[in-house]
Amino acid sequence: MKKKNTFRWSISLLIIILLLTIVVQVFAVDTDEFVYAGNYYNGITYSSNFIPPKTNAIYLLANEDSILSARLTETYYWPLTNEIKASWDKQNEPVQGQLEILQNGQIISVLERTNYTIQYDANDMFGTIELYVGEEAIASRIAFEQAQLDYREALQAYNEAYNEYEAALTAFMDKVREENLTVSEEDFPTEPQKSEDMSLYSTNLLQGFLINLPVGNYTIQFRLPDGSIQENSKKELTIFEAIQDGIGYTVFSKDRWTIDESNEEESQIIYTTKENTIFLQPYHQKQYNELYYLRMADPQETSARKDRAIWMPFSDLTDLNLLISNNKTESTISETDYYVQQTKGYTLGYDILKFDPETMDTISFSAYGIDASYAGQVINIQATDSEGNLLPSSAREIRVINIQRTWVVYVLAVLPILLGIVFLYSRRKNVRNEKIIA
Amino acid sequence: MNKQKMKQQMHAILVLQKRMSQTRFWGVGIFLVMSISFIIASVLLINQLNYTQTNTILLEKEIMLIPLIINAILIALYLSFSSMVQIAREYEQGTYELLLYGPMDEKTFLLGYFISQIKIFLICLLATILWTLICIRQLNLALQPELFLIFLLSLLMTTQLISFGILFASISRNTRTSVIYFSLTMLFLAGIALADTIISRLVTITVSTANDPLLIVRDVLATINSVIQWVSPFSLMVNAINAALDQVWSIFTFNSVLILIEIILLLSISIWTIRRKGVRAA
Repeated sequence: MKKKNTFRWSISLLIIILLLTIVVQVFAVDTDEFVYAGNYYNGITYSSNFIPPKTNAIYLLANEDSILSARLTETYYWPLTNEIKASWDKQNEPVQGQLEILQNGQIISVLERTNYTIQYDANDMFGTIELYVGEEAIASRIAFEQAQLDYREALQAYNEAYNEYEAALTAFMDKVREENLTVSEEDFPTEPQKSEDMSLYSTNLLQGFLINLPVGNYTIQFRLPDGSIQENSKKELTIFEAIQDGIGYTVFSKDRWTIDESNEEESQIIYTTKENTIFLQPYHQKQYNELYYLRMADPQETSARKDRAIWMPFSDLTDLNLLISNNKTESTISETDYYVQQTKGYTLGYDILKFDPETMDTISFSAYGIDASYAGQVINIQATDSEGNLLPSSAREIRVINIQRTWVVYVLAVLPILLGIVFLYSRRKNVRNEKIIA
Repeated sequence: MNKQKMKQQMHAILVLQKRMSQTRFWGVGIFLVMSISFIIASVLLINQLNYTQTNTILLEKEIMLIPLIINAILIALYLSFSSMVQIAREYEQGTYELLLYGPMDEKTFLLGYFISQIKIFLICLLATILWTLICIRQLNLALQPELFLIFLLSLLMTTQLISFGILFASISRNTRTSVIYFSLTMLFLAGIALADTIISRLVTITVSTANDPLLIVRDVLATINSVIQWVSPFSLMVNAINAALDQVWSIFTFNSVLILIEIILLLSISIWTIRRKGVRAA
């Protein structure tokens, strides 16, 4: 009896503990935690990520500058995406200490905190983005602040000049009206010229640890000023590189111009039907390990797999020509601007026309248009640079399928059974003949 | 003496394989299976072409890949089943015991069956190559060099599957038992690989969230598949084909060699089992 009661009490206690654990998990109180925050280079630009305490792996690109910073912040669980988030606005405190990089258990590098800033021109973000570190970061930030100041002053000067211009123009017009003067264009007050908008963007002067390592597996840990290792600071660091570079194409057809597909590899054949126009837009791409690349962007990502590769599109390729060879002919085409003209009336429809700046307002898209005229046609394409050199991994094949001959496939499929029946009949006939002879 | 014995064994193997393959072609079964597999392959191929007509564009590395894999698997399953049933029946009817009174031992008996099935598959493969080439020509599809590697791998997969069938027949020596165990094993191997492929495509990076329940299913399937992919003829073939299409020759060679090793291993175990268990049916 006593044993039974003890058992019941134990079970009740266990259930209460379990329920409490769930309640604590669901309504978790914000906690101060040591985390890493990163500004990583993804192959074309810098992005930021957040590595929560329970995430043990960090991925970065090889031989590229990336930044990791050690911070104390409040973290919370966000059930909608099943992720740990940081409340940077509540607490964002840098942690003093050194970042140690280990390989095979040996410390290979001890990093000190450094200043950094990221700047880019908004007119060409991918072409101009730059990470400045150390003294250069301070100088760049000062230069940016000076440029901001100059811009503000120039803007203020322009506003003042414009106000003066407006006053002068009003006075001039009043004078013309009152005195009934005949004036020419030169008599009007000169309108001040507005200086160009400032397109340079910059982050604040931040602090972090600069990481630039060759391909390999490393471990990082954060050593505090008292010589101890910060709890939750030990992480596996995987440095990886692109598997290969290539040229990909965005492919779409005249009849479905808003729905495009990516042709990433040379072995991918582009099949289409006759009397169609295929549009191609080349771009530069790199292939990475799927897990490494996606976890670099989002360390809490769970769907990527290590045994798969992923092509990442980067910059559009311009100033190229496409060498097109048919069975006998060979020609070169360049990129053309197109305008999509909607059909007038209530019926849905459109025409894709070559862009004419005199009669059309904006370019709908720019691409290399290729006509697939007849069934059975085979078109080979390859990109060439401005000097006519063939670009590697840019060759593709377009095939116009003979859709009207599909019946042949079914006819061929029933041939074996017909053959079998013939064999069977012939065999039975032979056996019957043998029996008669016997 | 050994040379004489080897000659006799070789003769016995050839006679047995000739008898078995002739029997197969005298029946209508293999022709029916070929037609069914071609019809299924045709439906899959035409479906892709109809998709191209609707979508106006289709981007494919090897448009014949899925039709050819399905075609090869159906024929291979038929051949492995039939070889397994025939061997089990030889036991049950006592003809195996009779054969051993002649110039035949366990090895020649199994190799005779094995070679006869390979011979039949090679004839089917010839028909498949013809069907493929005519389809490619008539429909203006691309003839990629990798296509011939697919044919080679389908031969290896069939050979491995036939070896599996022979092993099951050798172990159970009973038609019903071997059919049940073989069917269950094949369903498990093919099912896991198929489910893993489908689920891993369903749970795509762009649309899935971290709390997607399919992620757990996918991870479980991926874990099981990571083990059985080294044994399953279907997985080994698909891995090698994908490697060939991606031109990763190290993986292609590794998987192909693994299939060959497993064929030798399966046949050796079958011969050892049949010797150990004797001539009587289970």
